Amino acid sequence: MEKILGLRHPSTLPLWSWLVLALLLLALLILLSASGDLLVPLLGRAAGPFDYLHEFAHDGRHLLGVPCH
Amino acid sequence: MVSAYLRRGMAAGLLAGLLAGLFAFFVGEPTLDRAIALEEASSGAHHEEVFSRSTQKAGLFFATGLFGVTVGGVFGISYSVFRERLAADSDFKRSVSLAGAVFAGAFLIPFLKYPANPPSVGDPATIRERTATYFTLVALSLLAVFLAWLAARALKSRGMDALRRRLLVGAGLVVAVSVLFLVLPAAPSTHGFPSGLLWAFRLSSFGTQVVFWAGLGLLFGLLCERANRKGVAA
Repeated sequence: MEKILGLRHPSTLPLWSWLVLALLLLALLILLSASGDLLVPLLGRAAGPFDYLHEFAHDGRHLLGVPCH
Repeated sequence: MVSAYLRRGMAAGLLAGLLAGLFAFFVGEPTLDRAIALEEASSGAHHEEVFSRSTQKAGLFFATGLFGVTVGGVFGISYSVFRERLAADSDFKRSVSLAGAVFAGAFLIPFLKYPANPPSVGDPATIRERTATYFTLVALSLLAVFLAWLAARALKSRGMDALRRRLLVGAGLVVAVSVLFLVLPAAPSTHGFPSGLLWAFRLSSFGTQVVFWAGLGLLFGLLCERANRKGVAA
């Protein structure tokens, strides 16, 4: 794998950028898929406010082609 | 430096997201409004929404803008990894080709199997399954595109000529995508939703994504080229 990729070092990315990457992907997932309903198993009652985010981002989600209600 | 690419990615992504929002506002919203009018006419009652339609239209720009910033950030970090390994000979061309490849994996291929649906088409009871299968297909399509790129590189290093390489890798990608399409569950039925309106909506959704990825690739490439001209260490 390393050879095919032509990587000289096992990882060229510093640790912080992996963290940023994870945070960005989490934010993206919450924006694109979250309704409070979906996050309930994860957050319990704290998922409520995401319903507002879900409704506010409603048109964008539909037009970006992500599944929605 | 990763941080410079991350910054450029987020900036280019924000701009591209707002451009895509403009396209969606003028081209997509009219079809969305007609779909919602149909939904209310068929259900007979106006059910209370959390936000009014005009607030949701403002939310469109919030959604595409935030989508742009986050996707742009991921794009910038990815670019710093792939930059040295992409065949194109300038940052502009590399940026556009990476954006094209990610567009194919993250949107185009999943869209062929699970096209965008306007409000009232989806069944709320299946939203979890549909969301999970959609993102599964996004991840697997990105993987397929990545493997196709690896295969193309390996064949190139063995000295295979460009035409045969492209045909071979293209055929392999088609086979891989076909298998994915066969294995994953079928797209949900649209329950007699008017097909003309459905097509118009899907086209506008497709256009929104095209505007976004074209904008991201071009703007990110321009930002890199500008930094190169200024002699800023990348």
